[in-house]
Amino acid sequence: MDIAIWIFLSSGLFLGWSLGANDAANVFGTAVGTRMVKFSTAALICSVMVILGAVISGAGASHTLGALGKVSALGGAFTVALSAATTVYFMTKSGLPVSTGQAIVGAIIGWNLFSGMATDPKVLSKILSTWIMCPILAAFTAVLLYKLVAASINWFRPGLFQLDKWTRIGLIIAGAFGSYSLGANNIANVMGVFVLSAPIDSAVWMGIEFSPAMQLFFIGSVAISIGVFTYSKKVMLTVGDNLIPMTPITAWVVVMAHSIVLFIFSSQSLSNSFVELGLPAIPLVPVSSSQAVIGAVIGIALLKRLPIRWAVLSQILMGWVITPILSALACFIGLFIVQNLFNQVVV
Amino acid sequence: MFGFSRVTSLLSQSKSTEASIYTFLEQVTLSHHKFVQLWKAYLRHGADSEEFKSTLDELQRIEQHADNLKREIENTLYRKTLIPDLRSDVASLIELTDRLINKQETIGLHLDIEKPLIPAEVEEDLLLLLNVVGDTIDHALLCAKSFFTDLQRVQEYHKKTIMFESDADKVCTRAKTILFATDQPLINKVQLRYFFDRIDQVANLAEDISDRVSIFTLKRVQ
Repeated sequence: MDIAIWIFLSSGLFLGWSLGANDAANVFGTAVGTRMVKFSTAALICSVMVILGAVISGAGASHTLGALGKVSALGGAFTVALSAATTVYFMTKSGLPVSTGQAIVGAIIGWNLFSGMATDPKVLSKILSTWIMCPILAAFTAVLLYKLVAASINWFRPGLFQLDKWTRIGLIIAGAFGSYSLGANNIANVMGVFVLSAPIDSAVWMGIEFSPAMQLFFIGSVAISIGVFTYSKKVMLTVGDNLIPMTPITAWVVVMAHSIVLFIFSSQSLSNSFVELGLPAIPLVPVSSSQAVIGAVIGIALLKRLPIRWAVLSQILMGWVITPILSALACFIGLFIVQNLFNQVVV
Repeated sequence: MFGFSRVTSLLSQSKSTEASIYTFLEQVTLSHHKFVQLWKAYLRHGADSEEFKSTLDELQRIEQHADNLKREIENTLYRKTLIPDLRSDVASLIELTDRLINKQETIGLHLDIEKPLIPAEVEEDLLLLLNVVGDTIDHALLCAKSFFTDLQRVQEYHKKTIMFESDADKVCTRAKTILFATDQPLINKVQLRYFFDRIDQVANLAEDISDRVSIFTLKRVQ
């Protein structure tokens, strides 16, 4: 691949790195934070599964993002990814919870505004509705899972150590599933904007053809994996007890609910089976894994009547509103600079 | 794959720690058995008899073995991060249970050192007290084991422990009343009263264990 492409992709890779550093904590944070799973085990499983999820099932959510804004110039894609990554970086630095998905959507809208392209209200409302649906769905899934787990424990009455063993296995499986779903759903945030503009040819490896999008997703997921290994430990150890006190079982329920929701919003085959059953198709949209986790945590807190730290929650909600606005603004300014100062084609 | 080998080692470690905990709890049963034997040997043959000495040795060996197991369990719980949300509860339960064995050993040693005179009138109540204390310990142990195996039985054994402990108090009071009604010198009566109280304290400690387990259970089912 040409060195120039790597330079343009660097902003996407930076975004991937920060996604790995932040969002791996949503998948394995509670398990590592409660010391049920070692960080090295979590990081290894997470990295492998993120790559598999991105390459195998990453296309679905990427199409929706592509429909929101057709960023066809590599310079434009670079700026969109860079402004999203910068927003994520500064929000994280100021201690505000941030979603990579919201940042990239904000940046694409910024590109639309700059290029004079109309933002398709249908696609935008589809994305915005999933942002609201995602935490609600996660909350319902978590409540259902929690009730199911509680009933199973009552029924099987496992011993303390037996339960500990099964919870550990469960956390690893849920983490692996969550990482796969994270890769499948969120790779669109990292590499989606480059799909139309990056001049990459299809490649055949071991008899399997890898499309340009698949190659981009592979590169992006490797960046996510590097983020997981290099920076996520710190985030993992601080996540979990922020909203409610977590036990290993609630941790499992939260991760599982999050993974199911992310999987629902990225699985093309699940959406197809819905259509075959005469149901409406599932919108394949990159959703925020942080929102899914928070939705699940609130679901459990409401079910168990646990006190919720509303101050923390309102700060999180504020972050959700600020992120796309800030990112759109950063992208607009960024595009202006890249076009006029660096003389790059951005539209 | 270093990550997976760690997971499997962790799972097998959890099994062996569970087995160590049960072996540790068995030491309490063994120790009480030796404790009763020690008193019987004292009543029949005195503190200088071979039977008394060997039983005291065995009681001390059980105490040492229990101490080693206690250290091994606590070490593994923290080193291998087993049951992270409950390990401090389990460690404190093991610590408290260990005190039960220590207490019995201490009484045995004092019996050897002080050689109290035991009037025939209180012998029957003394043996009865040892039996009731044994029942209290047995039920406290069942309560503790249920915490590891079947939470729903904890309360049942907890209630029984409380009942046996209250029986132990009654037997102890009766034995002391009979003791002080004898024509022994006051100094002997006071000395023996301490032994009765110490034996009764073993039942109190067993009840404390059961109380603690009951609270841990409430925490777990929340």
